Amino acid sequence: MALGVIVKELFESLAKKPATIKYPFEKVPVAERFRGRIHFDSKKCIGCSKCSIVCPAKAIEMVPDEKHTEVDFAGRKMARQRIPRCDLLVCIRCELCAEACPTKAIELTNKFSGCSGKREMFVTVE
Amino acid sequence: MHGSELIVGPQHPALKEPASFRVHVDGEKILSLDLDISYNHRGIEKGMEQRTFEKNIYLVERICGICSHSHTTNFCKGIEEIMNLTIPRRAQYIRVIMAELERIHSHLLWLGVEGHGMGFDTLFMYTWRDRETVLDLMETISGGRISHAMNRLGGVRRDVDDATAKKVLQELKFLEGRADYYINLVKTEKTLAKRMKGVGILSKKMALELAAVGPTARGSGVKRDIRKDDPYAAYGEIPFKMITSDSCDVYGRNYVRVYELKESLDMVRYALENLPKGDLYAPIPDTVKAAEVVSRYEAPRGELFYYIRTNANNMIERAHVRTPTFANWLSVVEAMKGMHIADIPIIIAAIDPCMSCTSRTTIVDANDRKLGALSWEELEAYSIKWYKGRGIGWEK
Repeated sequence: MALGVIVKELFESLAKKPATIKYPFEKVPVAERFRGRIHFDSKKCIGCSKCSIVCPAKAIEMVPDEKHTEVDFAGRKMARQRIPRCDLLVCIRCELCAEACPTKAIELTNKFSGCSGKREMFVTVE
Repeated sequence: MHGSELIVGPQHPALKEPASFRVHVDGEKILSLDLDISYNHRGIEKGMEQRTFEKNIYLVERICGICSHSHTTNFCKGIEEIMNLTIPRRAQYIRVIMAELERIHSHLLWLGVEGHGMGFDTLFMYTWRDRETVLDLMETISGGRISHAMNRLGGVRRDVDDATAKKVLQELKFLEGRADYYINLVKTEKTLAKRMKGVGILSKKMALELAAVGPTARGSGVKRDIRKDDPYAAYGEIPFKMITSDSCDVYGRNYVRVYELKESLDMVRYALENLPKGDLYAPIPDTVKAAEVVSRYEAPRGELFYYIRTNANNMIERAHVRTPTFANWLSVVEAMKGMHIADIPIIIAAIDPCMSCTSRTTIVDANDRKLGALSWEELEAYSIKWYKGRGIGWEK
C-alpha cells in the first residue's frame, strides 16, 4: 500500500471515536423490537395453555396455580387453575407465545435473559 | 505413495466446525486431498418429521447461524408450494430485504475471516465492525441479530414500517461507502493479489463438472445464481447484475463476493424504496395434501436445496437439506492440487465453509518417521510466515 494511503487512513482513524463501547459504564443499546427475557402478566393470564402448545422449544410448561387467583376474562370471573412456567435456558425467544396469547399477557421485554449456574432458570407469572 | 501425509482436523469445539482433511504432500506441494466431513450429525432431518410445520421453521432456522433466514425462507417456500399459496408482494419484498442484508453480513464476515487467515488483521477488524451495523439493522427490523424469526407460512411475521425503512436507508449510505472501500482494496492492494492470484485454481470446466455453487462457481466464470435462474420471492422484479469472474482462483471468489456487497446494498435500497402496500401474510389452509417438493434458494454461500415430502397427517414424512458448503467441498479437493501447504487455510476459507472445522494438524514425515501436531492457528501462522519469507505480507 502506498505511503499516502496509509497516512490518510491513519489521520482518519485518529479523528474517529472507538468502535467499541466502555462496557460496564455503557450498555449496548438494543432495538425497540428486541426480543429478550419473557414476562407473564399475572393480572391478564387466564391459564389457557396456548403458549405451552405453540412453543417450538417446549420451554413453557403449565404448573398448578396454588393460589387459584381470580382472573377476569370476557366479563367472566374465574379461579385460575394453571399458570405457565418458562425455562429461560430452553427459551429460543421466537415470540410465538406472545402472538398466541389471547389476553396479551406475554411480552418479550428488552431485558437480557441472563445466565445461570443451575440447569434450570424459571420465569413464571408475576 | 511417495511423500507425506498431513492430517488436519477433525475435532475442536471452538469457532470452526468439524471436518477432517488428509493432505498428501511432497515437500511443500500438495498432491491430493482426502476429505471426511461426517463429524457433524445433528439429526435435524429426523427431528423435522416429528414437528408441525410451524415449529419446523424454528428448527431449520438453527441449522446455520449465518444463513438462518435462508433456511426458513426456503422451507416456507417449499411448504407454501405444497399448499398452493400466493404470497402477498409486501411479504416477498420484506423477505428479499432480510435475505440481502443477510448476504451482506455473511460476505463481510467471510472477508474478515479470510483477511485474518492471511495475516491481514486490519481487514478483519474493519469488516467485523461494519458487520455490526448490518446486524443492528436486522435487529431493528426483526428483533433478533442472528435468529430473526421473520418468516411464517404464507408470509412474514413483522412489518417494515416507514420509520424503520428510513433508518435502514440512512445506514445503507455508510455501508455503501464501505463496500466501495473494499472493492478498491481488492483492486489495488498488491499483497492481497499476490496471496490470492493463481492460488486454488478451479477451471470453469471443473467447476461445472464438480457442481460448484454460489460465489465459488461464479468465481470460475460459471453463470449460476438461483435468483436469476429460478427467481423466487421478489427477485423477478428487483433489478440486479450477476457478478462473475473469469480468474478461476481465490481472487475470483473474492472479487465476486466484494462486488456482490454492492449489488445487495442496491437491492435492499430498491426494495425499501419500492415496498408495495398490502398484507403481511396469506391465510394458510388447515390441511395439506400428501406431496413432495423441491425448493431452491440462493444463500450467501450458494444454492441451498430442500427436498420435502409431506403426508396426509399434516406432517413431514421425509426432508433432506443440502447446504451450499456441502456442494462446494469437491471443488476444494480440486483446487488444492498442486498448491503449497501455506495455501491450505486460504483455499478452504475461499469457499466460506460453514460446517467445516479444522483444528489440529498431525504432521507425519514419511522419511524420518517424525510425528508432530499443529493447531489450525499454528497452520495459519505457518502460512503467514512462509509468505513473509517470500516478501509477501503485512507488517505487524
